Amino acid sequence: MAFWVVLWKVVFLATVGIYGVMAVWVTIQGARDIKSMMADIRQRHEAGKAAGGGD
Amino acid sequence: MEFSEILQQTNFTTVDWVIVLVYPLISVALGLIASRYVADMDDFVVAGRGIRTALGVATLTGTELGLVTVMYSAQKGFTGGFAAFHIGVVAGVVSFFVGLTGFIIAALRRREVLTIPEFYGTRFGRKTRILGGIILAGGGIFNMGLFLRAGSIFIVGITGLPAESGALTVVMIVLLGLVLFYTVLGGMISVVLADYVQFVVLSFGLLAATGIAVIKLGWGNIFTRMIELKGAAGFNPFEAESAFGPEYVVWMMFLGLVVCALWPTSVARALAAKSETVVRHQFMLASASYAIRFIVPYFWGACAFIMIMGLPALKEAFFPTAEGVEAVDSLYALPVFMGRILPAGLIGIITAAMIAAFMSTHDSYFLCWSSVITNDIIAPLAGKEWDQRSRVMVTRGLILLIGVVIFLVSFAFPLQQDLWDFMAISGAIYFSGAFAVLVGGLYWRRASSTGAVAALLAGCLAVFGLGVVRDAVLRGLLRCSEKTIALFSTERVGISVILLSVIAMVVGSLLFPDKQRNEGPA
Repeated sequence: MAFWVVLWKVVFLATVGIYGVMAVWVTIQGARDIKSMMADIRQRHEAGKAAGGGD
Repeated sequence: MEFSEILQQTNFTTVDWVIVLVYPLISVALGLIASRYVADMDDFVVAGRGIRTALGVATLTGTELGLVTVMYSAQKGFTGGFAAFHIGVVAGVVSFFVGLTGFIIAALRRREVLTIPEFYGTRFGRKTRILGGIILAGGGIFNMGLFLRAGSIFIVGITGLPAESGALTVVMIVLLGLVLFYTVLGGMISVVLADYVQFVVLSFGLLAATGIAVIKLGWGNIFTRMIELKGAAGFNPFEAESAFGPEYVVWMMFLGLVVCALWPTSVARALAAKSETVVRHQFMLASASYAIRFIVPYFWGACAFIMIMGLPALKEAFFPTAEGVEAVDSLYALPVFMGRILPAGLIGIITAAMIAAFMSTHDSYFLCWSSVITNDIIAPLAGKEWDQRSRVMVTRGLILLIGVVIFLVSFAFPLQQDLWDFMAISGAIYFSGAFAVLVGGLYWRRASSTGAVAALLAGCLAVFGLGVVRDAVLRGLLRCSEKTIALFSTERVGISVILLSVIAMVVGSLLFPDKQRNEGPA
């Protein structure tokens, strides 16, 4: 049983640690991604209008 | 002490109510912003395929780390102790493997389809697409049928609202209404923006709540007390006396694959990614999310168990010793625990974030099931080219209809097993067949439409894993003994149906090959 106790302690600390780092990265980079995504969609619509495309 | 009196012993204050009421309005604002960007189904369903890695991870986590996930996971931690961690570990490892290899997800992204049934259509023909769409949408809507109930239990438990008051129903209707509003307006763009905000708030709230739980109960004491209360069964999932066992662990391995590579909302993120490379990176990075979305709530559930066992009134409520007294639903353990350990202010932020998580889970699923019905059932049956504007309108109407259906199901269906096990087996109605059809269709040239149909129909047999169906058939109709009924555990039915679907796919394909091969493996 000692094996399982140690394993789950390590797993818990590792996943919380990794998640914390990932949360910070996703928060910062995600904001940039949103800006890019909206710009891409706007560009695509303008290109569609210029080409005279419909639905 | 009555349970209703116990519920009122929460730290939830007026300040917390203000936080909770203001937060959802952010999602409404995002819906209004997003609606200006929707021009066609590509925008509405997959946000124009412009989602990059970080945003993909945020939306994936935002959808999958929902209030319902937290509730059913905490319940598993409460009933199974730390042994439940194996489910999260397996989910993370499998997701990483899927990202590394691109198994299923990369091949699907390469085909540029919008949904899984659309792939069925291009590979196996129209009939397979329609049948697949019906099973997927039907199973999926049923699977989310109890979300509202889990959400209401959380809100009652953490706020101290009286369970029998009409206020609770009003709260649920308002939340459902808000989700429907911004999903109908902005589709996937709204979903992505709302998921991002929810990811940020919930992630940091979750980490804070975990820290507080450890400080209040004591890191060493948590494990010591679990050893005292549950022994090896609280840690070793293979232990005979644990809540799991070897068959359950195998079932969870398969579910780990399903959750990331077969479940439509995960696959939808893959289909919305900018490229195959982004898909793989996204899944590898999100593997930590897949693990943590289970492991942290399991930890909370285990902590809730330890706290409850240490307080006589709560212990008696959840594990009554008096004759004829019914135990309180173990789903209440987490909100009761959080209501007692979190300080005012933080409890409001966590509750608001959890409600946002609840909403973001709903918005993704509404979008997913409604687009399946539009694209994969109605459009092929109608047999005509539909303009994009009409498709979007119909999809929006279906979102509203699904909202009504789940409201009705959530309060009427008799749940006779842990919520996680209900969701695993109700999901199996769809994914058992889907596994066989996707793997066969993507990687085996000889897979035929007859094999695909057989596999999809075989997958529907998973319904016999539901407690209420099993009871009705085995106990009610066939009058089987308890020993016989015990043979049909959820995990055994689930694994058996998956194997049956694979066999049906192989045998059906070999016996009835397609006359004309449709777009075999890419």
